[in-house]
Amino acid sequence: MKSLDEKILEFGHLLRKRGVNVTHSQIADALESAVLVGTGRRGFETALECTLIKDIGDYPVFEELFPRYFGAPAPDEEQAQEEALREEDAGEDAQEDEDTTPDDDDVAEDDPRYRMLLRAVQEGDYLMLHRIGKSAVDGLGTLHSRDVFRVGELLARAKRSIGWQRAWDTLCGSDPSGKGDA
Amino acid sequence: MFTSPEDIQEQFARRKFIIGLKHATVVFLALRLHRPLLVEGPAGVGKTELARVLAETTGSRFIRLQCYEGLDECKALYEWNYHKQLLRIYADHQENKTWEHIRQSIYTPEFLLDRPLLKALSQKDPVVLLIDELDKSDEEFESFLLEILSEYQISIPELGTVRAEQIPAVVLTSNNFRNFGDALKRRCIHLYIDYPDFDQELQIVRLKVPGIDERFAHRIVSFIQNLRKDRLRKAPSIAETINWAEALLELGIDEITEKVIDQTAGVFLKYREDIEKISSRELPELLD
Repeated sequence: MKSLDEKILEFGHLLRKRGVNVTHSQIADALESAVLVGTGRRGFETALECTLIKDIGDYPVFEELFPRYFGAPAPDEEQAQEEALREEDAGEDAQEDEDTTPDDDDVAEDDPRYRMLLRAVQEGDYLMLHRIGKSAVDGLGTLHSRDVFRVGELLARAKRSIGWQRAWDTLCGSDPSGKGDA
Repeated sequence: MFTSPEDIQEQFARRKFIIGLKHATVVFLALRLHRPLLVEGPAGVGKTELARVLAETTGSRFIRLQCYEGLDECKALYEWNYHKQLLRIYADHQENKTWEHIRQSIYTPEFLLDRPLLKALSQKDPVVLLIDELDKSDEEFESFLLEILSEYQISIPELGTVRAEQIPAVVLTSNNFRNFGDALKRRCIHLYIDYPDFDQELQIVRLKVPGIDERFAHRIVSFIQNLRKDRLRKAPSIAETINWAEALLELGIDEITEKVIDQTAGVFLKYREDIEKISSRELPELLD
């Protein structure tokens, strides 16, 4: 399985093949942006788009290649996740619903976040780990003092957002589907 | 500083500025990567307003450089206050000062007129620097600007180098009159803002024209949205939608008829040929 930076590099190469001028500094920007935007396919797509595409005329090429390279979008799934998050903010009943949804336990296997976390742990890249941790915390949004009563739940949400469980399973070998390049 | 793109959306909304999640993500990334944000799109979609709201929400000082053909370093960066220098030379002469003394005294910060770019770089407090309508400036100015946006420092031969106290948040806007060089585009994070979709525009009208009837707001927005599909010389922008809605509200009109359009088309169309074009269209197809 390829790491995220390899995938972004390769994607940049694909764009270049199609006549889009992508430089190394843009690839570096794209990688940093991918870490910053937190979870979610749409955020990831935007991060790549605004760093790799600089010409309005190149947008169609990006729109064509992105789903082909990173897989077709699963709009229902993403929508469901977003709705779950929104409900979570709305009230505690909704949280329970969300928590019992098995699919929401962790990010998808091909989610860049999980692979980035995995790679950072494997390579002992503390700077990257720090960034991932920060992005997970930032992803929680504005916190209020009453949130101390739901620290456990927030922590679970932060972990979920960076693909913690899946990375854990992969590293400890309890998930045969996600061996990766361990 | 913003914690997430959603945070930007929320804080902008408090200033009555509606921004989609995608655009908010791009703004978020530009700020975090300390890169200039190059905003392109048709006139009147809120490019300049975006920079202003960004300054307000971050509590930054707002400094604006309006570009035009022939804009040069003197007007953008700094120039020496020639008249004041002359006065000083004259006064020093009266006191029989040496030339060496005079020369040292007239090239001091007192005689420097700082223009927007120097002002933005020498600020101690956070700054949002808007370089508006960059496409109207010349290519020479663009390369000069690129240098400043890469180094964030300016060298003034008589005084030395001014290095930015903090990297300002830079917003460049363009209406696509001219294409920029690759180097500048690569330096920037790119944001393309198009006309808003129906829901977004309706939301904006509700926000900016509070007294408007819900059903009537729907009609106005769908009419304008349909107009934009026509090949007009100048399609109505968001500002024009708002002006029209306000005008109709003021006139006590609550139905769009051919007569109403005849009377008020000048509010949202700026060219005679456009007005003639829509008056030849069948009204029902524009209202659906």
